[in-house]
Amino acid sequence: MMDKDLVITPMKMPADINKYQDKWVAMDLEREKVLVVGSTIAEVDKKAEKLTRGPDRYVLSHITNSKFTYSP
Amino acid sequence: MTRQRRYNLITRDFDDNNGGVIHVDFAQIQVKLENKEKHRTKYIDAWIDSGSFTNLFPSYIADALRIDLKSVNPRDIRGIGTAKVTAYRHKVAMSVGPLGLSDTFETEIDFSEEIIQPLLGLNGFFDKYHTVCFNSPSKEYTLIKDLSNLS
Repeated sequence: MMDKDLVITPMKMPADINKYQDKWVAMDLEREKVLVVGSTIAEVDKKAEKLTRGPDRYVLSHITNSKFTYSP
Repeated sequence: MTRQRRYNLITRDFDDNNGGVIHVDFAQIQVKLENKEKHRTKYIDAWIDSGSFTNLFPSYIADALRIDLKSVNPRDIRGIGTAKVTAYRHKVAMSVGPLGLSDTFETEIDFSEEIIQPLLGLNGFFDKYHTVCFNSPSKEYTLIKDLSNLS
């Protein structure tokens, strides 16, 4: 028996994400906006934790020298 | 009984170093990592990578989870060509997928100071699922979990 498929798009990225090539970013949990940008995961995480007042209120992501494109 | 979750692949455009562009469909997914002993949690994006034997994450994440990175013996992880990185394997709780719809399991991650992009590999990720299926034409991938194996 197969549960009903869940077709979702979990990998929403902020609209301006392609500005941050080869950077680490911290996004809000809804993945709508970039909160912090930096060259190392450590600096981004520490700034984001301070900004959001918690260790788990944002998502870390490395933008690997490429551009996101979205299919309709 | 199985549970199927379908996600959209993300297309990323890479320079081909010849004036053109290469389109690559990536299975990138949000994971939540938790060190239950220290009550520390982090959310991070990772690539689903069938070419990786294990889960490979930057060592900083271990630090951020309050895991004592070098409390275990180092292990060599080999990759493309002669490349080799030193990593430290630790157990974590991993939740794969967006908030409220994730699959959660205990797994192991090799943390390395030489890794930047987090990777979800064969041991510790793929083996947690019944099927991991990439469908490039429809730009989707599917994770199928065999719930009958869960206690």
